Amino acid sequence: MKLKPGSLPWLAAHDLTLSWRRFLDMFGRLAPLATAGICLGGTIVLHLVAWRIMLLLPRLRPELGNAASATGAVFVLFVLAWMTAQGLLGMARTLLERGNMDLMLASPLPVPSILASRLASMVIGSVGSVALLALPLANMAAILYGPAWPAVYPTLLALAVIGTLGGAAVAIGLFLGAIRAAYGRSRSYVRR
Amino acid sequence: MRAGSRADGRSGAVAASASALQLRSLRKAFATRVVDDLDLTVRAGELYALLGPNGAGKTSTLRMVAGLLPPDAGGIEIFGIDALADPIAAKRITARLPDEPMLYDKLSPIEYLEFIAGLWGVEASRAERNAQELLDILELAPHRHAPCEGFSRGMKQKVALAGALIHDPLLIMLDEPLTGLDAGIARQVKDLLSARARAGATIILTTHILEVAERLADRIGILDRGRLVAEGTLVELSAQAGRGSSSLEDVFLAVTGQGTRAA
Repeated sequence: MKLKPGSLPWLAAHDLTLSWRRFLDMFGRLAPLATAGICLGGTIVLHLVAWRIMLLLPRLRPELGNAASATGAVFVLFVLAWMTAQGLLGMARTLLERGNMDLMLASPLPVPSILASRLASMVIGSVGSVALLALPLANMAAILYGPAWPAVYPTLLALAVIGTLGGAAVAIGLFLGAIRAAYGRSRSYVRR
Repeated sequence: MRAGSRADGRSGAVAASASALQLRSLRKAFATRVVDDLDLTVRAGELYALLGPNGAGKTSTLRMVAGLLPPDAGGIEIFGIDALADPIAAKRITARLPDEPMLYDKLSPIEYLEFIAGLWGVEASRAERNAQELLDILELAPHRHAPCEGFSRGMKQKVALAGALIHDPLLIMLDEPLTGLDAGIARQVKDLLSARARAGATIILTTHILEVAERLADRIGILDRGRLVAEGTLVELSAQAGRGSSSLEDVFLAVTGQGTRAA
């Protein structure tokens, strides 16, 4: 399927292409088949580790007792804080690295589309940074303890959206505050 | 060809009354005022060189025209379009090549040009045709599928220039397009710009290489501290600067006061 140039999915696909190529670069000059083999092997190893960890879960449950829910909440808060940090960092980079945004903003695309695509890429990046470790655990738990565990997937996405947008909003606020402070101060000695 | 003679030679082809760019009392301040009530008119079809010492306001002016920096006051009109009221319409016919061109290292020239064409909504067949033509002219065709990350600065500059021209803009703004390029690549870029100007595009370029302005430009404007301190063909500028100012360098130093400052 060919995406419509200039559309939000097209812009997001562009960002994903760049991210994918940067990821592939980590494998140097390896052949595509060898790269795929390493990725598959890594995924299997992560799932085996997750399998071992999840086997310990029934033993931990009685010990945690009533603290089980609190432990889950702490985990969710930790992930949210991580994703907020990702959002803050991503937006700060977007605002400070002039080249890429200049190129996009000089084009006739509507500014909201450009910013939305940037935020979508940041959300995907945030999900990816946690999914690598969290999803093997969720997959193994789903096999061992029932179908409720795949709920981790939408939960992770929701946390990424909330965290990333929150972090991005904080970065924009700080940026505008800094500009206002510097600009407000400078107005007093602007040459008239 | 020198500034004055080139302008005379093209006077029939260029409609002198039609302006490509009109800046009216344009103003921008950061810590100090970088663009100070700037009035500037660039005629359609001319190659205009915008000169000035570092910090004179050249880049800020071009960024405001490109819609990347909101002016504090004043007006910007591009081919009759109010760029502040209708920035999207203005951006459709405008291109800007920054002094540090933005390239995606992981993309090949052809992918980069496809992306830029997509941003400007160029129809696929036209984009393909233009990309092929630009890659051929700039001798990038053999590298069309190679990632840009391995390219020299000159090659990257050529890819970025091709990106700026892919949508056939009517107004092309180039910020220091020849800085850091070797003689061969600089010649290719100059030839391409001259060809575009002959084909009717309006080009505004900033440069510190005065010889480039002298050879290529129809008219030259000199900015200093955000104001246009001199404007005209080389002959007119020499007359404005007065005695002993025969080269553009003499004129530049005279009108910006840099010669006297240095002395």
